[in-house]
Amino acid sequence: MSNALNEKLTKKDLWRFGWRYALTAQANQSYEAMQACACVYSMGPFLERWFSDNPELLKKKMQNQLKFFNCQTYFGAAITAAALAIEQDEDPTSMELATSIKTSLMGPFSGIGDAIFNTIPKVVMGAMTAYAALEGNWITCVVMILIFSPLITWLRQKLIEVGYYGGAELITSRKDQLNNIRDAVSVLGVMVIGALIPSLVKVSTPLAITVGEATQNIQDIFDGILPSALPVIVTALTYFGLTKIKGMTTVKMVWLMIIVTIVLSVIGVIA
Amino acid sequence: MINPIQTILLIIACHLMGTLSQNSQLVLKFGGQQVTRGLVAGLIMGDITTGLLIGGTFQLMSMGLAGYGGASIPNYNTALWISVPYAIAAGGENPLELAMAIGIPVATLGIQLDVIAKTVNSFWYHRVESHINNGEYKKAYRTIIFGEYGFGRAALGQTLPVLIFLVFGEPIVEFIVAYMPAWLTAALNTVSGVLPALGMALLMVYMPVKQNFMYLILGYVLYVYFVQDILPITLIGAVIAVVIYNNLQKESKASSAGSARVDAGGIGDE
Repeated sequence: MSNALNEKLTKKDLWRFGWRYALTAQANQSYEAMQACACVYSMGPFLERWFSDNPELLKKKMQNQLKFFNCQTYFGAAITAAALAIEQDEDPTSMELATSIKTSLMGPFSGIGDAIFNTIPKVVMGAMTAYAALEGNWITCVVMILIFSPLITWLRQKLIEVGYYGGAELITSRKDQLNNIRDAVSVLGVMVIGALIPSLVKVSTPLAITVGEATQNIQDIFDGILPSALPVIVTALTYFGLTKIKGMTTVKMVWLMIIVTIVLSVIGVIA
Repeated sequence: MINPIQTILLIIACHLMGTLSQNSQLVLKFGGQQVTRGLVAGLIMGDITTGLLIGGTFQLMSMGLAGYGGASIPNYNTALWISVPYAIAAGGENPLELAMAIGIPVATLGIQLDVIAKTVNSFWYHRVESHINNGEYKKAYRTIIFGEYGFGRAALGQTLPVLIFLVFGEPIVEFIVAYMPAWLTAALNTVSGVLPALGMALLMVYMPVKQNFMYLILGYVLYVYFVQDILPITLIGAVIAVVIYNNLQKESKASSAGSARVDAGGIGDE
């Protein structure tokens, strides 16, 4: 019996796990298995270490990692680490348990992870670096990467440690707190969206009404009622197009927007 | 004119940033996907300011776009690696206009490539599966790495189209520069102002906007009536978020403490 099986992995081992996971987090993502390759690549070496003297079991354990897995990648790493801790057991039922942990946690934690790590940073930091970039400023971009990349790498590693040492229960027991973080961060995100709509969407109308001698620009009327009224209308139309029209996809929406905009622009309704 | 060394450097940078941002996701996201790429492409072409200008513009156009639920979205990354070099090489007075004329069609047509790329990934997955069934784990690891970093989604969706366009695309770009009618340039300019609405609408679909509608209005009002700047609004939002988080934590502690008291009572009763 190999001794390694009874010893918990060290933090150094978990860094190795973390980098292997990061390197392949979305590797060979296909519709049928999504992120399964990341599970194989990150867990494989440890399974090989533990079950080297039992090739049959090792093969079954490896095959077990080929199953469908799809999660926001930072929480995906933590959940995989929890599954790894469960797989560190010769009992064949551990495989079923590990799989059910992965499958039951991946959905809820994707939602939390996307809000905390994907949507908000992309929107908030993306807007800041983009506006700086328009003025030829590259420092904002570099500073953001230098500050947040190490910070998030460290945070992700902590999540992995919680997953492996604490197991699935600890991840789940933190769920209240994580949900609270998500809810609070969502408020920030929604507020930034409210500011970004008038800031990003740039559309106006060159139309004018001429009555006798007097010419009245329609854009001035809009501005008088509500600043950035047209951007708000365009965004609202796009939103209702996406949610209310049956069979509408993002791809169809892009083409629709491009065609309608070109037509309206050519006939001089918007600019 | 883009010289061969620049082409090679652009291809290497495109491939590295494409594969790494798909996986580790640590390298680019926080500097802005398109801004970082625009900076690197501009650096290679010897004009950082133009690279940043185009990168920043594409970043704002793609703001909020994300492949939720495996959806395919316009590929501004591919568009960027093509339009920055040509816009800088052409050296015209308005590089941004040329970048739009090249970039918007490329980004939109690039949607279709993603579907092909995911199909190719399926081939690699089954190779990995058969290696594991044969007990050849080292081969399985190698296939995963080669499949992803050699010839996977990034290679098919970004690197290959960029390579083809950089090598063979010059006549197309010259044609655009020479014959692009003014009305189409103007229309594409309007398109670039309208497309961000898609990202915003998608964000509204996937974020809890309905429950937080008043904060949407707050952000809007702060922007149009008070500060035309995102950073102060973000900071105000962060303050509100912290207050809300603390309240929520108090609530969940109160409810869990309440249940703990009941538990303790239960033990005492025994």
